[in-house]
Amino acid sequence: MTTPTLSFKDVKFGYEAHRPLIHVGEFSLRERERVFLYGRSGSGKSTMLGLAAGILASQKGSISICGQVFDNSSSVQRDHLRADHIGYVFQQFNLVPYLSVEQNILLPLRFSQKKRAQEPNPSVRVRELCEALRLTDCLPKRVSELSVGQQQRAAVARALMGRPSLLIADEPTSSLDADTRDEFLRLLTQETSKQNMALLFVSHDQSLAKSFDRTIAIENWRAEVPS
Amino acid sequence: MNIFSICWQSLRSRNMATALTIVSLASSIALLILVTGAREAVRSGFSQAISQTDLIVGPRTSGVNLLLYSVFQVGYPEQLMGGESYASLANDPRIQWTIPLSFGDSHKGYRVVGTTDDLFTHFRYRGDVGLEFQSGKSFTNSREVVVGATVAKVLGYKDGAEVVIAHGIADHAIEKHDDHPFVVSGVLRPTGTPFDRSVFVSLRGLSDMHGGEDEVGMADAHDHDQEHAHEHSHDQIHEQRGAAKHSQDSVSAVLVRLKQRMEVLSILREINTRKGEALTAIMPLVAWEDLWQGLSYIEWGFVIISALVVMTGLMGMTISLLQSVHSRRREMAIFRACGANVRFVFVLLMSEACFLTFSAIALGWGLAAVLANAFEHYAMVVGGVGLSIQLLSTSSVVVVTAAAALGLLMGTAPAFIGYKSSLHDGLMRNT
Repeated sequence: MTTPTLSFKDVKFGYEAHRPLIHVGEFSLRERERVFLYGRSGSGKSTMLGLAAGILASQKGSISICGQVFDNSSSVQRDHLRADHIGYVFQQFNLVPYLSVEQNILLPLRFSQKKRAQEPNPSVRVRELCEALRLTDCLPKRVSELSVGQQQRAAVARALMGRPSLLIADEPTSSLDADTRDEFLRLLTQETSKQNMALLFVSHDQSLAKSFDRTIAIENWRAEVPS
Repeated sequence: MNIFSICWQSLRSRNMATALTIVSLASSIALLILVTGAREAVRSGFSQAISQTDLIVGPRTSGVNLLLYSVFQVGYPEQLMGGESYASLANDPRIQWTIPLSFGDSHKGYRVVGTTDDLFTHFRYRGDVGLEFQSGKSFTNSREVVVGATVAKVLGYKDGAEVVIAHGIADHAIEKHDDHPFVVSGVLRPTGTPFDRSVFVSLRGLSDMHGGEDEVGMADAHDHDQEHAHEHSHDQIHEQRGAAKHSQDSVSAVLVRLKQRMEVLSILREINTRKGEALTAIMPLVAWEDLWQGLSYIEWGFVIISALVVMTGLMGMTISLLQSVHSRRREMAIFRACGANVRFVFVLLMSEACFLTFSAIALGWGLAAVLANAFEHYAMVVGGVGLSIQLLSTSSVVVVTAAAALGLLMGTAPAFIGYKSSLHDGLMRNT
């Protein structure tokens, strides 16, 4: 059996020490698996993603990515693992406004030796990704000149840069209209499978669930609050 | 793409705020550099205006007043020093040379200095620099004048020009000695001392001028005034005795050089306590230090004010950085999501503070250099004082280092807040 890309084991987390918010007994994301995490706002989505990306440290249990366990006491180690293994797409405002589109896409290489090693020819790769994500004419533009849909696709290009094992997308379609959303999902699916990446996709919109291998409701992971 | 290019692009994207922050900080730093520099320049400017003069002797007055009117031509003597006293100084065997100076008249707003050839032979400033003629020569009779470089330049005087001298210091002095025109015999080279703004006339010439209307007489003092012996022919009509202001040999001050500098204190005491006419003798450097001590609270006032201005500038910088930190939490979250650790966020914000501080220092120094130049020019034109403001003095380096350290210290506040909030916000900040 191969190592799961992402794995949670008996993870408990709460912002206040004695009031756990989330309790994940067992959850793993296999290689190339595409999971839809469903949750309404306030359901603990952001917290889950913070844990999966190593921004938050769990108080109990262990989270590992590609077989490496997040060290709860070292944010540097967690930052390092995130830089090496994860690509991340936000709901909106994904791009650093004062950097060019190309610089934005190249940004992950700055923070990871591993990603740099994966991309021997970064600028060629930027062109390829932009072509695949239909962004070619955006490259010379300023970030502020891009439409929301284009910005989201540029964010995907950045998340793919350096060929990480896992792409985490946090409501990436909620600011898109129906047509652009479908186009976005199609391209996201196409490019992640091309790179054999696992995908953790979070949304409140259940209608998107059909394009994924598996759906999990975040509600299930809510810790029972002791009264 | 290194962190500095990211920092640079970030600052450039807010170029208006960046420029304003730098300019405001730079002007306060320039002010601080200038104030400290000018302080030292004024202090050392004195030693450039007069040197090799061991004592200044004048009529009984305050030491500071004597110093100000004799060296800097600020204010004027309340009374004169009698010719006998001057003669006894000039003939004292312990004294190497004397230079008599007599003030009280003006020419188109420039002071007229009654003196003798001794001024051109003996006077020294800036260590060992003497007065030199750029054209012409010293006055040879009582109807000739020598003009300072600024006077010649501003009024367009050349050798042979005719000038009319008015009584009193002001530009529009009412009483003009129109009947007594003088001829320019020579023009001095620029010196950077108040002498650039002076018109020199022989003591004899000065008394001739007043003789006609004031019934002020020439004394029988010609004998001890050898260099004027040749002027006798001009003075026939003025040979009346009088106690009034401009007798030929009464003067406002006498610069004295001793043969033995060791004797300066005893001669000083001797002059100050002598019987007969009451005189004041001062050691120029000591009197200057006294004056400076008296002014030191003003000086410190300036320094404190400019330090406060720098503080204000730095606070302005901190405020603008802090505000940008809050509007940039999103940006920090993006960097974090791409794998940046919190140290990156700290270093990024810190390098912005560094960049602002150091460019402000560079610009401030440049600004200070330009202003110092203008100020030196102004001091030269208006005050006739040659100042040189040292921008690279110990104290300005101390000042700038302190400003840099403070700037960096205050830059850590936004950096720390950015660091903290990027840790808290994580990836969760969606707007």
